[in-house]
Amino acid sequence: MLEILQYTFMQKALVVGLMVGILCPTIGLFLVLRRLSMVGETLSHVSLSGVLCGILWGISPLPFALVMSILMSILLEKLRRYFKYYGEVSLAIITAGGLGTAVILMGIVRASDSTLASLLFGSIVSVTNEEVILIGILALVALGLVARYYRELFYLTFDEEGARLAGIPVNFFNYLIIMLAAAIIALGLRIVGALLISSLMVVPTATSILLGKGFKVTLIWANLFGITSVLIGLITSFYLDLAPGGTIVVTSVMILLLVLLGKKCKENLPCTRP
Amino acid sequence: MKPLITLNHVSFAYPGGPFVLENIDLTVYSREFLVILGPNGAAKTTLLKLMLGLLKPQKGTIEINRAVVNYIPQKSTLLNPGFPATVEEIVKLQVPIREKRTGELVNSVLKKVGLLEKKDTLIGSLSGGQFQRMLIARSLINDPQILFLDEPTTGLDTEAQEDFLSLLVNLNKEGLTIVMVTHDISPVFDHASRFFYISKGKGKELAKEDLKVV
Repeated sequence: MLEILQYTFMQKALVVGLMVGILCPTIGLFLVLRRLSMVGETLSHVSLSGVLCGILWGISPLPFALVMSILMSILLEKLRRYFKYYGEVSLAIITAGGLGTAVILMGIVRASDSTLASLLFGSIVSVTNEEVILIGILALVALGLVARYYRELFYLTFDEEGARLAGIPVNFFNYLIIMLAAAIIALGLRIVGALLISSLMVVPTATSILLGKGFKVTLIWANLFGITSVLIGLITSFYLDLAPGGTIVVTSVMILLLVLLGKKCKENLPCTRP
Repeated sequence: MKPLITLNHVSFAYPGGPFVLENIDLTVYSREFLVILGPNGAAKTTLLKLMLGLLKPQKGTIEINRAVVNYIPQKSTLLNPGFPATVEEIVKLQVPIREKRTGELVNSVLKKVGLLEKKDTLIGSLSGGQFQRMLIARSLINDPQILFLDEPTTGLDTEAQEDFLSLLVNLNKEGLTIVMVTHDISPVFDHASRFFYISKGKGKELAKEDLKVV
């Protein structure tokens, strides 16, 4: 266990991973409960093209992915209002645009296979000090905003019309949630990868919903499942020499299956059977 | 009785469409139980939203006498019943931010609607009637003078409808003005103090004798 902490890259990976493990499910809960689970998937494709733009123009890719992802999240929210009764169409449009741009840029950049693999599936070793600081700032801002506006976000998630009537600026908070999701995805992409980051928003959240608790407790459990998935995933990948992004996500899916199994067993116990 | 909301010759049309309400005159008085009736598509909800100030009329005036109003929309029956939240958490949403007696306030409204013992229950475990009661509790938190309800008994069985309406009658007796929209007069016939009927954009007040219970 101590050996893992002797490596600077693992120290950084654990710090960043824990922050991502808390941030993803925190925002993920608000998205999943509003049936917007696929938002993460969409924004990760946009972030990928942002990273490739950064590489193409020789500037730091992460801030570029961040800006691109936030801008596209605003466009996504606008499209969602435009296609009021077909919300998922807006997701399909942005996904197509993001992925198409990324494929074109991959051809132009002529990135090496290892660079592409690290973008798609994450790379612990390439996390820089600058990125650790950037993710740290984002974690403080995002968690601070969620704590400050917890009631508003909760109200909006449960009943948008009711929240509007209660005087909550619904449009502002809709943009806030989606922009926070965009920022988290752009920054978390480095460690879990573009193809897997969105699952860290959805799977721990889905696991916590399975527990059937109140909203606050569900949020806490989602965070705990997120942190556990990252920790087990990183440690396992280090010792077994596996891809960390994939190991983290597979761990989160295994936790979900275990909880589901536990729930089924509990329901079928003779003493709990109706 | 004190007038709380007065509509004078109000007409309303949605952008690019014809008038859905024309020349409506209606006054909501303090402590009454007003039922707005009409067939589906008669613009009953539109009238409610005009009274709430959510829509602005093209013609006529609406005077709202500084009253705290709350609204339980028709859509409430479409809210996600599997949402992971307890009754207490949902009711708390309406508590003013600077309120210090949150717990006391939540307990008192839950007691009023008969859901105190369900305080820690997940909303997904509530029956349709209990779910509506919880929404009433949420709307009572900031002590409104008028409660607007849009088709609140839709989807409830007869017993739950009666339970729910007797709760409204009790709240009305305690001084809460109730304005309720419905297309089905039967459940509310005995409870309402006044009826306003809308059809084809026109509205008129009806006496109980004028109404035929289907």
